[in-house]
Amino acid sequence: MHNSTQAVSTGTDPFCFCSAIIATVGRSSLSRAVESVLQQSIPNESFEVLVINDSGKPLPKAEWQIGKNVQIISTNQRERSVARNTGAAIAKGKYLHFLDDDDWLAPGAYESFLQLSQISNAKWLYGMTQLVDRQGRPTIRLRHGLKGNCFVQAMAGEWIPLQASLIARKTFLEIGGFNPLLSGPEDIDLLRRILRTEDVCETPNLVAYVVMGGEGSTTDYVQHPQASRWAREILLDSSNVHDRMRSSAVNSFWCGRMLRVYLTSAVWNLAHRRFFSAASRIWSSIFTVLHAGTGVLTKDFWRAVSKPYASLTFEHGIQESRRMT
Amino acid sequence: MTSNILISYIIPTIGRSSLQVAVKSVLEQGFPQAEFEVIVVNDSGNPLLKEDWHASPYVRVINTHKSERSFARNSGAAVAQGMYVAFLDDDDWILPGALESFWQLANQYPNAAWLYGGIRIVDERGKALGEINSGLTGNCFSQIMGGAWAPLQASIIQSQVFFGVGGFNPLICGTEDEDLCRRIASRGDFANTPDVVACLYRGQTWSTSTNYQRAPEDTKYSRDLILSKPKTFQRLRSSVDSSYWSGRVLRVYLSTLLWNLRKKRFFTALSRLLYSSAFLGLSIKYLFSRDYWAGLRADHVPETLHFVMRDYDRRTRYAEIDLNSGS
Repeated sequence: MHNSTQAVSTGTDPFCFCSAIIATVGRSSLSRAVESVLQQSIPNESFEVLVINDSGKPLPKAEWQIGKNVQIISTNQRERSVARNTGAAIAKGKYLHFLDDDDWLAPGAYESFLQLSQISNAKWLYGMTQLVDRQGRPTIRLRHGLKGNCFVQAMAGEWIPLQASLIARKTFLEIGGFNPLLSGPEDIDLLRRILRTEDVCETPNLVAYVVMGGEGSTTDYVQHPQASRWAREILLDSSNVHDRMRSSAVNSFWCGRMLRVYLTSAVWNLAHRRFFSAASRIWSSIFTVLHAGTGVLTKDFWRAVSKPYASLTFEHGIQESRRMT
Repeated sequence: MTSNILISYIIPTIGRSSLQVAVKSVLEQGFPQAEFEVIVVNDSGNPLLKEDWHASPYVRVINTHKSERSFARNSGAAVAQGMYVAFLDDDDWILPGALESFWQLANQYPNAAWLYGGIRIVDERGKALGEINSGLTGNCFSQIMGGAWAPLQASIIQSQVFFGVGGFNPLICGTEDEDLCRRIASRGDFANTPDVVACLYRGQTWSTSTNYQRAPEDTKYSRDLILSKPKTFQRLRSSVDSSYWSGRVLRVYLSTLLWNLRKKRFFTALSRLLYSSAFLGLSIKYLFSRDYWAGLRADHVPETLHFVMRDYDRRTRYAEIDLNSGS
């Protein structure tokens, strides 16, 4: 009738450090992505590549497909989050690495992560990202400088590209993986949900090249702002959120950002006639102001409250690239 | 991807030997009108024993790596090509004629999101402990929220709707099937066949990989998440068709009110209180009905596994007492 039976064996690797999960819609750049992983300097047995073909069509033949540590799984045009979650379920690695089919890894990236994993218990490891345009020209370098508990930073707009990150598989499964109902901000949502309980750690080395730009992208940017807000609301309703944000708001600027998170949420809830949720956010806002103490008298606090959401890393990257040009 | 497959049967397994019964129960349906496929999701972390069904062109095996049942089921659904997805555990099976019943039901109710039939509960000797079919159809959101049971093993679900609600929620453990049923009932209609289509094994030697300790808490969390969604109240209201179910809905709101109070989520508790009052006001005509109070008081609703297992436990206990007194 249709597809033949696949191999029946699973087997477990004694130690697979990392599983690269590359969800693809069949773009020709896939080969570059896969080969950038296969060319990593750590031993071949310590990582695997799972290509999740969500294009609904067979992939064109390529040399990398005969690799021992490469597996191709065909999903039935289920959207990126479902495809990635499927990859994570199949993966055997201690860490998961989600790469898009138009991005690629820098040489030595896994080596850097391996070293970092030996000195850190953080469940989200990441490195420096080089953004490139659709023509492959480098644009901005992202040096995040985030370490430890950075929950309020993530809630207030900070973002670490998945392509430059390794996530502990156990943690990923425990928090339920990507939310398939989000199209676009599912990576930011994942970061926030992991940071609600876990820490991040950074390597200063360049680990990934990420293509940025709307054209040719599979992300639904139209749905993006609304979906992102809805995801943030679900998170703000979770337990432990206030305490975790509080402990990551280390100065008056971040206390101000925390207040902004609650205030924008209160406004959003009022606009959506969720009056009790809005009241709850106002209540949390009062606590945040009390926590900030004399910090509310500083300029930084009010600058953070009034400034729209934006990634500071992005801003620094843009400033740096302007200086260089 | 276009395909003519009507139903994809997804069977996650932890490598139990009963898997072969589950797979063969689908393969031996002998109803060529409805194309089907079987996706075995091996989440055991070990190779499966070689069985003759591995050679069947209708079967695909995908190997997940101890990712827990919801991830395994969602992965199976992701690779599935059927218009409907169906989920069997590796110790359950479908009965002869099930595929035909579903085919007829799908033709009769093409817009229904969740189609289901009766389920037979059997012990280790294959003896029937009871049969359950709640017979609910159409918008049965209040019934499902109130505790009515549309067994996953005896159901098929429209693939589009399954993914539209986000599939199984891996954060719900033990009652993830109820959670899925509630989320689908919140937006889609149900269709029912009176035929008994599946068997659920529950006997003295029954074992499970599910962490049922978390289940009571998780089921309340699941219900609370659904109640937080917009338009839930309207859908609940429009599905209430009797005084009994009116009482059940009020119970749902009151129990989540208490749950939120215990969790110190006071503003959400207040919201539940407001909705409870609104519902009470709308169901004032039922206040003098016995059924209303029966619905409000009962821990479980009829036609659920709880009652079959309670009777079974009683019988087993009496049998043990008889044996002991005889010896």
